[in-house]
Amino acid sequence: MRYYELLYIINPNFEQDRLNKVMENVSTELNGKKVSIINHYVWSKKRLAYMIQKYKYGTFVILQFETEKYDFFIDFEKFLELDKSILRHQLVRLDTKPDVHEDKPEDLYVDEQPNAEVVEKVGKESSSVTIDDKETEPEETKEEITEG
Amino acid sequence: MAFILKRKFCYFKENGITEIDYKDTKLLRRFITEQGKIKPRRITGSSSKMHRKLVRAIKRARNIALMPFVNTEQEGS
Repeated sequence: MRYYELLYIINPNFEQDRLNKVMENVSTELNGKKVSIINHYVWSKKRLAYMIQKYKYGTFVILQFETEKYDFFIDFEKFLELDKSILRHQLVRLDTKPDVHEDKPEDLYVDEQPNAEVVEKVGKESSSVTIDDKETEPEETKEEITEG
Repeated sequence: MAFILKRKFCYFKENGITEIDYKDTKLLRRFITEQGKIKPRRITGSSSKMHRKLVRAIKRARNIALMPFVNTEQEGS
């Protein structure tokens, strides 16, 4: 058995219903080809590193499956290319069996949320410290100016 | 003149990383320059085995638009 991972980008303007339809089309394409799907979920909506078909954002979807035969990959990739709602795709072979995905958002790849909380906390602390300094310093300077 | 040699170490070996996932852009960003080029091994200090895996992961991330081929934001500013 070999494990594969397909990561594809869907048009960012699509709503949940149309998104599910595209995902269903992709999974139905694999039906009847002795493929067992392990994971198929929306990863996240991300800003693209460069524009694809004049889109700055894209909805990333991950499909992980296992199969013995790989004759249908040429047809499957052609189907993905011809689908206009899919901006880009990448099929990669995995060395190990992937874990089953849970609905909980993963902290591993989301680099914005945890940092934002930390930044807020640090920002509050640092701002409070700086405010204290500012309160003391300007008064002294003002006094000096008035004296002069 | 006294030269202070900075000790180079393999980041992956220190942190016990054996496999590099191309979706982990937070990790991969550490090994590219501001322009978006892959840093050479003599600068990062990573082992040749892990550097090969790293290069493959970065190129995969570039193809799927998770990482830039060239960072053009620098030119505009």
